[in-house]
Amino acid sequence: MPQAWEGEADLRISEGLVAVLRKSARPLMFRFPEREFTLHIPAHAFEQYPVFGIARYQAREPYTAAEIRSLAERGIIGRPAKLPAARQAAARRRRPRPVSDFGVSNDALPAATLAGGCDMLVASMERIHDPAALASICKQIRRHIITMTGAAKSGHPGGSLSAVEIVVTLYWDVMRHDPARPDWPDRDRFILSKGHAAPVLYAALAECGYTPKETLNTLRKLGSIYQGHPDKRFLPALEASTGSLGEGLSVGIGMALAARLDGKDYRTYVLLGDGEIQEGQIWEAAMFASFRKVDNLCAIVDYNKLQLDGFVKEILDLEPLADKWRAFGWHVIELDGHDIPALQKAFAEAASTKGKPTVIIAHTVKGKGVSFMENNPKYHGVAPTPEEVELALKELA
Amino acid sequence: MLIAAKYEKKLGAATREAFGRTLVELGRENPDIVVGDADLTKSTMTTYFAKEFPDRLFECGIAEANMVGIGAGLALAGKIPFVSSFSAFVMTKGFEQLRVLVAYPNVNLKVVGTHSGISIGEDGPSQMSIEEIALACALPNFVVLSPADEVATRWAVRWAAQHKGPVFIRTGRPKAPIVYNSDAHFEIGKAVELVPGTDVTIVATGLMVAEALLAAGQLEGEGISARVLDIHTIKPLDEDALERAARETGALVVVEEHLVDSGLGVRVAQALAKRCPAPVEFIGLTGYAESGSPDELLDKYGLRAPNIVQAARRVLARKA
Repeated sequence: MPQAWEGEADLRISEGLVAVLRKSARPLMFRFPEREFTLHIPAHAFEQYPVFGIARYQAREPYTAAEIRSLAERGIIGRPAKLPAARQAAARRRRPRPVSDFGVSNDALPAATLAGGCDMLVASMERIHDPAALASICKQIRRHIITMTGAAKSGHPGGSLSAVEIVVTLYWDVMRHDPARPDWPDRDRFILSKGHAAPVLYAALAECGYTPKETLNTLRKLGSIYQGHPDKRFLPALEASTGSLGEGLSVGIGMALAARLDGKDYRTYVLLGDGEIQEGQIWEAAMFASFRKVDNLCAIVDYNKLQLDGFVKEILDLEPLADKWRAFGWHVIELDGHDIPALQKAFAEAASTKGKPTVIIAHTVKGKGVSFMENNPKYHGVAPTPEEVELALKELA
Repeated sequence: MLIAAKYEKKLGAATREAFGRTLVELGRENPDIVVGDADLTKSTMTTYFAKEFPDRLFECGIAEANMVGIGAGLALAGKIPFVSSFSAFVMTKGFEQLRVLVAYPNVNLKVVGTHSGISIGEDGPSQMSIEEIALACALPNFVVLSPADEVATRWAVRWAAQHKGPVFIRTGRPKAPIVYNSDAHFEIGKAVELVPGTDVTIVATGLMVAEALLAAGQLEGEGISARVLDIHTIKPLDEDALERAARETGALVVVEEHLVDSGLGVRVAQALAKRCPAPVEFIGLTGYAESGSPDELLDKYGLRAPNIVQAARRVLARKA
């Protein structure tokens, strides 16, 4: 038996709401708790006609599109509208289809109760599930990393490139967040504990719309919001200032504990470097998080096998790494950190794992995506020359 | 509020005890007050808070660095966390975390060190904190408080809770001599002139304030008028009060239960060098102490009223 139904419904909304949609370029969501359905109005839904558009809905019952329209319009604008004749036939053809999961409500929180007992929901940035679409964002992020560090003539391209798929999957698919409101209390938190990978985070924040893309090339320059390591004073959208390794997991625990105290359902993600977890504080934090069952926390180890002085296994080997985390009481998922569907699946598994925190050990390639940087210890902390930038951008075209 | 010229030493609650009690009051008033401790709740007196608010007390185990990090995370998520341990541990083992996660991004974390100074007694130097005024003052954005007694501690903890930004409060283990009446009024960054005086100024902090008051009484008997300043706020330092003291009394003695080369004394000297140079004598520790009863240790290491009196005579001799 399907748990839920989804479909599309014609909808008339007020001019005011259309203006809100156009201005924010962000979807609107409504939840109708009594009727157990949610309505998702994409930002572009009302481009064709002034106040008529198509909304997606998910429901517990197989409502017809007409029923949804009538209920929704009563809720949102107070009375159902008559559909223009031209659209009536198309509306009749729309039927709900069964789906296995009623997943929309997790996206949002109640903001205001409207006329017919429905809540207008504040929506997250629109999520992208398609791995191919995410992969093309990854390519764009990699181009930013190369040009930024090239322009800065310093920085850490290797460990930024290895984390691209992790960061993109989180920011575009997994996390609930809204670039228009970086201080949204219910946003999911991301802490870049391996702060030297700042370029990948800056590129993601800029592409999401938190910060300007045009100034990414001011990375590491005096007065830039894109400081050498993440600095909350210059960029308030950051969750924490990081850069001294080994500290982000503790901060993530603090945020996760606060969520628990406040009864909030946001999740906290902490990206760790592999060399970074040689720090003792990581294991203090690991012990604490499992003992206190901090299951709204997910750590990701960007296991690119290289650190500044050379190969991790020659500096201070971490193996057997998965066993270590397991012994510390964590749910462990090991995967290829460049495999987007695997990351999507892992983050879902982490969210549904209760009673213990999850660590994703992501096997990655340092310098991933640029042939001459891959697995090359040199590019831990050395920026590409102008010629190398040109070569790299060709590969990333 | 001002103490009579003849100060009589009467023991009150330990400053760590006052911290623990005040924390519970704050917890009742504000649900955002949360506490971290590192296996010392029964010593730091956060145990009172733990009993009343078990969900808001995070026992971190013997892992101070993690505790400070968790505190920073809680603060970033809107809580008002107090983290506590012996001064000797939280300020040293948590220092790097206090530097990067708290001081530099100006995060709203409160750090309370207990068992400061040598007056902890028998446990000996590994547990005695005689460096942490230097460490705390080295952190930009931190306010550093060093209350003298129970009443001053209650104010300090309450002030810290309502202040947005990092605060370090230095408290001690033994029962603290009563300095203030319960209605005493404090202002952040403003020294309290406990005794007016014209010949010399004794600048003291923490447990040494009571010794300074005793010394002022003895000096009065010798016909020397000694002013006593309680520096409850070490940072920001009340440079105005120090300048006035230098101009009006012309000589100062600084006394602290801390290394003399890196604590209150050097900060006072810096302020005077800027504002109004004057001869100063410094009383404090010059190295690590040992086991013994608190009283024996304070005697042996020269942190008593007679030591202050001698220093006052020395500095008066240097007065032009």
